[in-house]
This record gives sequence, C-alpha cells and structure tokens, in this order.
Amino acid sequence: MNQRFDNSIDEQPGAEADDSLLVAYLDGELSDVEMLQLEDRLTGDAELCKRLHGLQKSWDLLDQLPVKPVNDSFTRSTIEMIIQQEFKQTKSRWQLMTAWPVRMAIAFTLFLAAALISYIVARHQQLGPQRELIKNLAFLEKADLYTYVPSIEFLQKLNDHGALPEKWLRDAEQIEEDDIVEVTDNVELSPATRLSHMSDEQRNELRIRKDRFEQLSPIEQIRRRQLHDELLMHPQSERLFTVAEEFERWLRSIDVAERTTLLTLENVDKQLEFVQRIRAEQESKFFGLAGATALPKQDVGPFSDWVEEFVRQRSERFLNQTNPRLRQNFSRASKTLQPYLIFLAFSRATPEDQLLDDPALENMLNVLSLEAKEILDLQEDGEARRKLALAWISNACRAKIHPPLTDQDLFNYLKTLPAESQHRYDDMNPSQWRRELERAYYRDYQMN
Amino acid sequence: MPTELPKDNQASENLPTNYAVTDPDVALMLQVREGNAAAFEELMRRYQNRLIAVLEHLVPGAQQAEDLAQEVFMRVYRARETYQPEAKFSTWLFTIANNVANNAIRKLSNRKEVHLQATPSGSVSIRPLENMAKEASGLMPARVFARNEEAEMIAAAIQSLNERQRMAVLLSKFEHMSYIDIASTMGLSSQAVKSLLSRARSKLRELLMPYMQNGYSGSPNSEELEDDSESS
Repeated sequence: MNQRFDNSIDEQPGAEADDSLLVAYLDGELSDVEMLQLEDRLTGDAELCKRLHGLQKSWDLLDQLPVKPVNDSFTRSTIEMIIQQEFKQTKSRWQLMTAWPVRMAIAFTLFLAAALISYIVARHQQLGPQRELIKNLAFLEKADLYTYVPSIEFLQKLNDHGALPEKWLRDAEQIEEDDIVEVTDNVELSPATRLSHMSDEQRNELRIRKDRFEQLSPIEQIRRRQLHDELLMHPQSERLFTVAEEFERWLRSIDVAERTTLLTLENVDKQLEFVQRIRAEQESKFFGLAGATALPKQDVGPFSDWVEEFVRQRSERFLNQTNPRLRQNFSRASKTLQPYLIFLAFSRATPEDQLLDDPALENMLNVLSLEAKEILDLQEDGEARRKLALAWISNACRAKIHPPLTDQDLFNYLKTLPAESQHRYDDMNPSQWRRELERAYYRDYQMN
Repeated sequence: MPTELPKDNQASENLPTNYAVTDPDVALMLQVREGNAAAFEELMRRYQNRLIAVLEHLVPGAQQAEDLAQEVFMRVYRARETYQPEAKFSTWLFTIANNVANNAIRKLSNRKEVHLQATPSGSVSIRPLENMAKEASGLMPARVFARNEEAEMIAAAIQSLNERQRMAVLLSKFEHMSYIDIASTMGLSSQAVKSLLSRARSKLRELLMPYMQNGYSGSPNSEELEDDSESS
C-alpha cells in the first residue's frame, strides 16, 4: 500500500469529502504533505477524529470474517477438471477434423505424406553409404589442403608476394592471341551430382580422406573445419583456394626435412621467408638445368634481379598491345609473376633485336661476371650473342613461373619415355632417380 | 490541493517493473507457460483460499464460489501459452476472478435465481441485513451474537454493498491491493476506486456502528445508526 493517491481533484463536499480523505489516509494512499495536513486537522477536530475511528473500527471488524481453508480435494478436482477439459478440447478438435470433407483432405494429405516418405526412404537406401560423403563432400575435397596451411593470413601472404608459381603458368607461356585458354566460370553442381560423376577410384579416395580426417585429434579436426569455413566466407575465396592447392603441390616438391622445418616456424612471416628461400633455390636449380648454355652459378642472383627489372619495363608495353581477352588471361597470374609470363608470351612473336636491343644488352653485361661475359664472347657473332642472352632471359623467366616438379610430374614424364629408358631409371635409388629424371625432363623441355 | 507524488514513486514510475524478478508468483506462472505442471499446482495452493474467500462474498453459496474458483484456475491454465508478465500475478488472477464473478452474477440475475439464504454447507451465508436485524430484535436470544452471528452480521454488511464496492473492499481488505492495482483488476480509474472505497467504507461504518458500540443495534436504519453514533 505504498502507492500514494492523488486527492487534489476531490470534489466531494463536506463529510463525504472528509470520509474520502480519511479512507485514503487509512489506506496509506495520501502523500506526505496531505497526511501532515490531515493529521493537523485531526488534532483539533474531535468530530473528524471520531469519524476516522469509526472507519477504522468497522474496517477492523472485517477481520472477524472466518476464512475456511479449502480441502485438498479442491486442488485435485480442479486439476482433474483441467485435464478433462484439455482432453475434451483435443477430442473435439479431432471430431471437427473428421467431418467428411476434412476426412478427404486428411486422406489426400496422408497419401501425399506416404508418397513423400517412400521417396525419402528409397533415396536414403540408395544413397545410404554415400550420405556422409555427400554431406561432407565440399570439405573432404579440400581436406588435405589444410594439413600444412597454418592460417588464411599465410595464404594471403603467399598470394600477395606471388611466392609460388601456379601449375597453369607452365603452359601459359605458349598462349597466343588465337589460342586463348578461356576463363570460364565453373558451374556449381550439387554434392550429390558431383559425387555421381566421380569414378569409383575418386570415391574411394574421398573415403580414404574421410577416414584419415576422422583419425585426427578433435582439436585438429576443428582447426581444419574452421579454416575451411573461413576460406569459404573469404572475399578472395576462390583465389586463396587456388593458392592453397599450389602450396600443397609445392610441398610435395620439397623434402621431408624442409616440410618439417616449415611447420616448426613460429610465425607467418618466417614461414613466408622460408618458402621464398626454398623457392629461390628451386629457381636457381631450374635455371642451371634448363639453361642451354648454363650461366655461371655466381651470376644467377644478380642476373635474376636484372631480368626482373627488364621484363617489368617491357611487360607493360606488351600488355598495352594485347587484346582484352589475352589481357584477361594474363591477369590470372599474380602481380609478381605476370611480367615474366607476358615477356615469354611475346618473345616468340617479337624479333630478337626488338626484344633485346643493343643498349639493353650493354646494360645486361654490366651485371654479369667476367666468366659470363667470356661465355657470351665465345659466340660467333653479335646475333648469336643476343640469342644466348635472350635464352638466359627466357630461362630466368621460366624459372620464375614454372612450378617445381613433383614426383607425380616425374612419373608422368617417365611414362612418356621409351620402355628401355624407363628400365634404366627403375634401377636407380630414389634421390638419383629424381635428379636424373629432372635433368632429362628439363633437357627435353628445352629442346621442345 | 496540489498534485504531489513522492519522489521515489515518480522515479520508479519511469522504470518498467520486471515482474518476473519482483513477483515470485509471476516466476511460477512463467514456469507454467513452459509446461511445468507442478508450478501450476503450487500457484493453486497459494491462491485457492484467497480466491475462494473473495468469491464467497461475491456469489451466493460456498459451492458456487468454489466452482467459480475452478473456472478462474482453468482460465489461467488455458491462458498459459500467451501469458505475459505485465502485472503482479495476483492482479492478473483477480482480474480474471472479477470477470468470472461478474459473468456469474449477470447470469444469476437474468435467471432470477439469486439465493440469499444460508447454505447447508455451514459456510458464511449471505443474508439481508434487515432479516438479521429482525432476528436480533427479540426473536433471537443474546447468544445470537456469538461468534458465528458476528460473522454473519459483518458478511451481511458487506453484502449490502453494491457489487463494485464489494469487490473493491475485498481486494483492499483481503488482498491488500493498492488503489492502482484495484483499478487495474476492475478496469476502473484510480479515482473511481477511491470513490468506491470511500462510499463503501462509510456505509460499512454506518451499518456496523451499532454493533461496535453495543454489540447490537435494534435497527438497521442508517439514520438511526448515524444518530446513535453521534450521541455516543
């Protein structure tokens, strides 16, 4: 009864108004000010005081009214009644539903439901063992990519630095305006359709991946799932998936010790630095193996730096001469690797003296060692010198854009060799097998 | 008289009351909403006596009061799924009780079936004060003012109030509701509640004054009651 009550609009006259005020006073509905004012009046007004006592006493008399507690049966019977009522309502709803038009509708609905259930059951049985694969297909297709990928930030850095060449670049240098590899949008098929298009071998591979994934620790499973989900949501999702695939491919081209070292590096910058160092070694190796007349080892570094500047200056000019379709194709390469690709693509269709004019050749000689200059001087004439210099430049470019060879690449290459040669490689130990096959591969590549 | 509200009340009026926190019965009702049947039984046990005590003064006969109380609880249960804690639980419950009682009274008056005689159940009967006064005027010995008779006299005094006054008195006296809560329960303004209670209590004073003074007054006439009170 703490709520005070507004008595200011009381219009009742005389005793009635006083009673109203006294009742509100007794009920604790007056404000402090009104209460004090009334109490002032009460001290000097015996009649008012008498009325107050009369009100209070009559009010107190109401306490004499007996309160007879209800027995427990009231609670029980009320609850039983509520239950019965609920039951009746449910029943009456059902009775309403069983009127004949409703019955027909229900029968029809049941028929449809039965047909739907039959379809679902049949589909369930048909897809049974593949259900899990379909459900997780998008993830399982990529699951192995995440083994060595520490984070999205790492992929982003690999991409930004053009640290890894992509597989398609190997063929891209052959691109001509009339022979453009169309960039088409992949039509997104449902997982069930994708799975149905797969061979038994591919499906089996997926199952192996799934088993492999399930054997991982729960923490690692969560990490890979999260990475996958984050990649899907990333604005550069498609690009970063490609980088992840190239990274996974690239890892297969390095040895176990290097892979282990990479995994133990504490932060993304150090990991990137490590990748770039290994990659530089691979470029150098390519350069040494693929060069028609090998550039002395000490020249590889300075010469690569010079080539980088050289191709960048020209690639812009070349790019401006191309049509939009070709330009679109070049744009698929990272910014770092793009100039090398463009130079290689244009070098086949451009006269050598325009590709490497005399001032550029002189400029190149400035960075070369005496040994390298001597190799050039051994050439018959100026044209032959320019040809060799351009071969070095082209090889430097190829070293940049060619992904390193994996064992699978070498196997594929081995299959192209005559049976006699294949037997010769079979007798080699693994490291010799790889070294010799790589050498043969680059030699053939150079010849082609 | 200037309008004046205490400062703490003014401040609290600006804040919405979280009844689920301040009123344990609201918390119970929210559990009922979530399907907790035990919570409903607990609410029934808390309120059944209070509810029947009020209803007994609104409709004739203890049995009918119990029937109405069951109807009230049934409505509470039916409304559980849409229940919103917008007031104290008791305010909500007695609002339903007020509606149920009003419907019952309307039906009774339509059928001309109002029975104002004592029921065989022995509970407090509602009898016209005139009858009681007649009995007390000499036909009944002094012991008629024993405790039961005292209760009957008071019940009769309450019965002499009109329905709205009676409800306001019962909620104020037995449920200790504020004017605002009574107004909310009965669907009236606070000013109307104030007026109802003022008139009802004045009338109760007039009717019960002779009894308060002498234990008995030979006449229920209000003028005489007033004279008596003035002379004392």
